[in-house]
Amino acid sequence: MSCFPEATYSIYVDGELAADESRLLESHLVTCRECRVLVSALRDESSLLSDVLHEREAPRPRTVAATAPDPGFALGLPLAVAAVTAAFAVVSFLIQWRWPSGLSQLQPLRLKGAFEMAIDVVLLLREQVPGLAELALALGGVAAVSTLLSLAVGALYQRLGNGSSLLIVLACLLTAAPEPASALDLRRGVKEVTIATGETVRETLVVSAETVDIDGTVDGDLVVGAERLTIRGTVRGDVYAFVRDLEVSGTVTGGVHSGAGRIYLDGSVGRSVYVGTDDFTLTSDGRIGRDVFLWGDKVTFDGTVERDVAFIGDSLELRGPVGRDVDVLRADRLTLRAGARVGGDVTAALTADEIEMAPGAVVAGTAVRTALDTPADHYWAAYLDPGFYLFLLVRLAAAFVFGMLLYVAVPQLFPSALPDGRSFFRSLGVGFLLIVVTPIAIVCCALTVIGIPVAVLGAFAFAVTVYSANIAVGALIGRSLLHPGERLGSFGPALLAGLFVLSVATHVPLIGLPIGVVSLLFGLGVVYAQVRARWDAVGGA
Amino acid sequence: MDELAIRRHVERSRAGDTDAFAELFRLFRTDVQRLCRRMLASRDESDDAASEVFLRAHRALDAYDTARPFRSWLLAIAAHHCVDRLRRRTTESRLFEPGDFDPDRIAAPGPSPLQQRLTEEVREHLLAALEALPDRYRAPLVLRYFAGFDYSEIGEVLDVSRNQVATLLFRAKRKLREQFDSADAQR
Repeated sequence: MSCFPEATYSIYVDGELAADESRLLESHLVTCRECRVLVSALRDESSLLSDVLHEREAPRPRTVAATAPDPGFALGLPLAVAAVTAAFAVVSFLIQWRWPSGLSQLQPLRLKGAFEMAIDVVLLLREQVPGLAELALALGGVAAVSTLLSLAVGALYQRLGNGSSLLIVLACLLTAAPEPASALDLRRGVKEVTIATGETVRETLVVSAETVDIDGTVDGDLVVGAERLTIRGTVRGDVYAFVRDLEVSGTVTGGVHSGAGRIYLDGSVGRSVYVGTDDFTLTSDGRIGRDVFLWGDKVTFDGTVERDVAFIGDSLELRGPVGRDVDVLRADRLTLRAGARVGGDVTAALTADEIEMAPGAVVAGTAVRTALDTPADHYWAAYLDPGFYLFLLVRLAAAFVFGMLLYVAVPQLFPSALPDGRSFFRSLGVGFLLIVVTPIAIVCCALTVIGIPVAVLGAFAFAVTVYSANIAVGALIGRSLLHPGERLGSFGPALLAGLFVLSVATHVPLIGLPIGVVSLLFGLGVVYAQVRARWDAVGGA
Repeated sequence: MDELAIRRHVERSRAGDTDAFAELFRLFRTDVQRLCRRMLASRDESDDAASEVFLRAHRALDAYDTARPFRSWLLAIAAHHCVDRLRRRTTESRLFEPGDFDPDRIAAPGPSPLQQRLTEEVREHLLAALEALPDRYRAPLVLRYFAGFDYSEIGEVLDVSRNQVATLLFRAKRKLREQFDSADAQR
């Protein structure tokens, strides 16, 4: 008997051959070794097909050919990178440039009158649309947290695909929800809220009104949104104030955190002062127990600061004692009058003629001027310092080691193909969103009692992600330069080359900073996309 | 979950218990999604298709004959739906008709059956080759080797005879071997 055609064996293996035909075929198989081999091979093929089709989805192909973009779009990438970098460069140049004196208010960081304007807008809104500021604040926080949570819940749901995972997430959410604020005294008044002399508020006081006067005592913190806040009495906790005018002639045992048009400090603040304001005065009777961090326009210190002063703004004038260092990060003018006594060092990023020191002023430590007199020197100075290159090498080595560890642990984190122009912008957008939303969400988590561990973990994860972002970009550059294989031995040199190129690029004078920012945002977007793709591949059908 | 428990869920769903249907959805979602994914060879389209399959199943629940396994009933709905979608992709109305079965016409020796060990790489390439098959060949392969349908069931879904199913499957496997082997040769 001659052999059957392969198609018949195929039907036989599928169990679909009629009974009599099957018997005929089987009797042939007994005598024909070749056909037995074929049938066995067909059986193997069937089970192979069945296995493959039942397998979970493979990860998205990582071969370059499969993901390489259309050449037209690939050309868009350098254009997109150049355009974005140029835009960032212009902005950072505007920020760094020393403007002619008459135009200095145009400088974005100088903020002349900006606090005044911001406060005007907020107070106007508060008056015209009551509750808007509170609502916006709450909505902003809720939006940030829920963006990240819904991403996580969506991913979990897709991955685990059942109701129980949702229940777990919901349970977690319930435990993370803020505790009902029991020790809180909320007061709202259209015109005036006054805590009279002799009156004591035993808990944290939150007030929103036109004018707020604290003549009595607040045992907890004081949170105020108002036109004018006057503290003649005592606040035992911290003060958080968003006001046009803040006057403290009484005592604040904690610290002061405030955005205000004018701040007049005649009394005593036990801890540190963190403020952004147009006009700050510390009178000769005023005293700040710890540090001052000031972002302001015109600042005068007559009174005592027990520890450090850090300042960004227009002009700082010292007439009283400062316990430790004075650090002027950015300013037009620093004046030390006769009564000024600085216990530590004075460090100022100013040129020689921007610092004025009266004969009676005393600096116990050293007075250091970090700014050079011409902007051109400023840009080149760092590059003449050997330490700068050593630092660069150390950072490069650290990034390389971390990158290799990351590659061993999660190779999927590194994309293998350069993106096209369009997906570059998408990654940039996602990166920007992540860098804005994540910190807000972390802060919101930290504000809830049980949320603190979540916030700490979140902050740590965020820091690692930000660090990985640049490494991912470095790997991408390296891979496009060297076309390495998947093996660790060939990935290493590519990563090193890519990180080196990136490191050099981000330290080029003038455009280094913009390149760094673009790389960070893009890298964050890339990492997000890779994680997302991996997650979909593992969890999807 | 055993067939009895599934039947209870079906009964409750018929009585209007949405939780019971949600449980059925949870149990079979992956199967349905995967079938759609394999049949349509499109990640984007498969989720949409799977949702629609469950919608159709919910509407047709009263017509379900509990003597038949629920999974195969549900997968048949999914298969019909996917075939509808495949037909919509083409203007050819006789998408799955290969002509009459004639063993001699296809008796010419072709590439030998696939006998690779299932490594990650082989799996990826085989899936890629499967996705690259024309719809008319991919669909019967998926119905046979993923859904486990017999020739009659496949014929019913594709609207062709059993003999035509046999031909389709045989040609599909040959085509798959060719594509897989040529891709293999390029590597």
